Amino acid sequence: MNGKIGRCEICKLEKASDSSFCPTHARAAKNLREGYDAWNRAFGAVPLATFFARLSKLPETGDRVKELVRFYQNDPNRWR
Amino acid sequence: MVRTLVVCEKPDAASRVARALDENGQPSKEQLYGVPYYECDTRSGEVVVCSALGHLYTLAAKGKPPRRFYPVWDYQWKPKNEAEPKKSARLRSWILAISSLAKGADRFVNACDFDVEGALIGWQILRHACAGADSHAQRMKFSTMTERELREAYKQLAPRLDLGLAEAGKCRHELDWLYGINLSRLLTESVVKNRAGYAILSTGRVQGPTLRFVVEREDEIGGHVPIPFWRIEASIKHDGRSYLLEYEKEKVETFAEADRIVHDCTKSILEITKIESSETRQDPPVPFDLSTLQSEIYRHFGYTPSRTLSIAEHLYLDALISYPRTSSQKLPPDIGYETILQGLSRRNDYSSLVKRLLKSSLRPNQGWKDDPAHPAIYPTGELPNRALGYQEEKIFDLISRRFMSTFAGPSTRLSSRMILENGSYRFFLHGSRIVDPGWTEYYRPYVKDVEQELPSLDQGRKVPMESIRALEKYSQPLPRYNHVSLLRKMEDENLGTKATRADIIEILYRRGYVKDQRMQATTLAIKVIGLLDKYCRLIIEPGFTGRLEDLMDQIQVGKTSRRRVLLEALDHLRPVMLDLVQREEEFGELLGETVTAQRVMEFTFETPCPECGSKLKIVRSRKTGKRFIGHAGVWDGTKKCGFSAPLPQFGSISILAKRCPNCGFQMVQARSPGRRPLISCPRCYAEKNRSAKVASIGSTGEARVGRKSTRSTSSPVSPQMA
Repeated sequence: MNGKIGRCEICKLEKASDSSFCPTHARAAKNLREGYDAWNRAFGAVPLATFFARLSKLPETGDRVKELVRFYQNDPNRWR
Repeated sequence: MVRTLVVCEKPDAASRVARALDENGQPSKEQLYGVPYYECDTRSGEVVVCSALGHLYTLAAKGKPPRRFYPVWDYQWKPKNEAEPKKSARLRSWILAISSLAKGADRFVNACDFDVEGALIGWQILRHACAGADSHAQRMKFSTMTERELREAYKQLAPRLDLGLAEAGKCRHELDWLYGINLSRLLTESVVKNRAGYAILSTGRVQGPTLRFVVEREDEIGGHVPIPFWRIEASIKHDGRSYLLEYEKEKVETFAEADRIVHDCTKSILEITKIESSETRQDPPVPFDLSTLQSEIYRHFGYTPSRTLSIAEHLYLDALISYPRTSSQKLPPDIGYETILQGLSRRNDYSSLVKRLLKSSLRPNQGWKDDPAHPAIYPTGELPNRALGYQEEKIFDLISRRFMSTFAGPSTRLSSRMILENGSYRFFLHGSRIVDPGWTEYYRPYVKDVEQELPSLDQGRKVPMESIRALEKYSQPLPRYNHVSLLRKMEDENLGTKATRADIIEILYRRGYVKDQRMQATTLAIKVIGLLDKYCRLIIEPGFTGRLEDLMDQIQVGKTSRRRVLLEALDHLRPVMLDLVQREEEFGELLGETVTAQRVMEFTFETPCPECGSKLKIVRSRKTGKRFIGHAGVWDGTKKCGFSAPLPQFGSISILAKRCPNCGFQMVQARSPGRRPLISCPRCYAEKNRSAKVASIGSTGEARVGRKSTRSTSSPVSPQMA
């Protein structure tokens, strides 16, 4: 039972079993992906960079989502 | 001659009961060991009325374990002055006085409030201070403190004490003690042993699940991704007046569709295809139970639920309203509707309203909630014999108007809708008119009568579109809880009692778990709930606590026993605690850092110093002990800037995220238990005071020159002075 505990890549808390994030950031990541689909439906097609840029400026965006946006902006390959 | 000892819950209640029972309404006030009591002459003999000061007995660990030792399983009820010698020393004389008075008594009556706490307070006093008088004591039950009802209640004493209620009360205290002591000591000790300093961290049977609601909401808000939608804003003009139209879809989900609507309808002609109208009837409101009173007061005046309860209790002790800790929304006829209304009519602002009500038969619109112990909250019809405070007056007025409005007829409103079409696009124009104000006349100013007239246009007429545009909007996160919405959530989930919920919310603030009016969970709260969720989820499950509440209700009616409920709760708590004790170090590591960070954050402003740009903190004067905003390090010479601003000296201070609309400085909030929080901008306050001082100096012609006069002189002591 002394196996190494995986840490969330954003907040370093213990990560969820099926994600590279903690449960809170994993939920936010799920919302972010669903949100991107909704934005694409609403606007037609939105480049990912524009989506992230606009999301990070909106006051309605949750703080955990903003942290994820910064994470993906720094390392866009992780989005795939 | 029979001598009766009547035990009340509070001194004010004892004075009222004594006045009601004395033949001449003038009992003689005596003192024993400095404790007041009353001697009344009645036809049936001498009656002595004494009082407690709330609970005189409390729970304490058996033996003398160290103060912070846990887990603790053995406990006993002790006089409060022995369990808390520093805090409750004066209660010794109260117990001694009651014991002495009991020695000469032949008959005993419990006249504490008729609820779980009142039953327990009275039972413990009669049992422990009156040498086992609980076995033959009688119970006085009343819902108002009016002389008429108190005399009536004394004539119709219940032959026995309500042991079911007392047992349920005992069980509640014991469960809360076991959960609270053990879990809170675990949290506090883990931080202390981690060398993060002493910080009181607590959780409990009700507090844990309540905090979890706030943390879960924070989690949802933090994970919110705003989704775009469009709202169509259109208008027509008629007779020189603009009317706002509503598009048939409240939300348009794609930009393309919104753009097409605007393109097709710009400068178009709309045809009025239909005008619909219907009458809607709104029944009068139901009488107040405690939670609806608390939410209505919060909505209109912003008083916290605990403040409302405390004011309502004062009004009850003054015999102006009935017992406020009730879940009932029903008014039984035996309270005497007409007598109460006639009493209220003695006030000028109510007299014409009452006259109209008394013209027809009196039947209140009853709510569905019921309480076997007390009716809904209602005014007694007595008028205050002292000047009521501003907040008391507001609450008394709201309760009185609500009472009157429940007897009035429904209000009727004519709602109309005009449908305007342009091809496949439909727009609506809404209007409404009051046909019969009904109960709303009695409940003003607490109800809004908004009327919106439709333009005088007939079906088939064509009108040009004045303007149309699509507004880009985004979905909003769920709102944070406020005092009332959290209180309602607790009630829905059956957490706590009507008497304790408001206090639990106050504790969340005191522990630093939540901040701001709209409750924002702090990092500490998120960490605590995260840990409890990981290692003892059951304890913060609302379902489990709700089940315990149900079991305690069953104790009241004799369906289960206190012993069985305690055993079931301990079956869950004991293994959890034994496991948690092993994890104390882990708790300490995870919480210690957060406690330290929060402590620093609590005292540090984000707004930089307007003079030197560095961080500002809440500091205390070494000389006077008063707090103010300034720089740390002024005393040891590491900081030269002398900027300071004053702070309120009462209650606990928290720095809010909200900025002052005038100067942009962070606002501060001072909270005291049971009082409305004071939110202010320290910088503007200092400026205002400085200007006032300068003006007064100018007007008196005094010339005071010097550094102090140019600073925020209302600050208790500036760092330079200290």
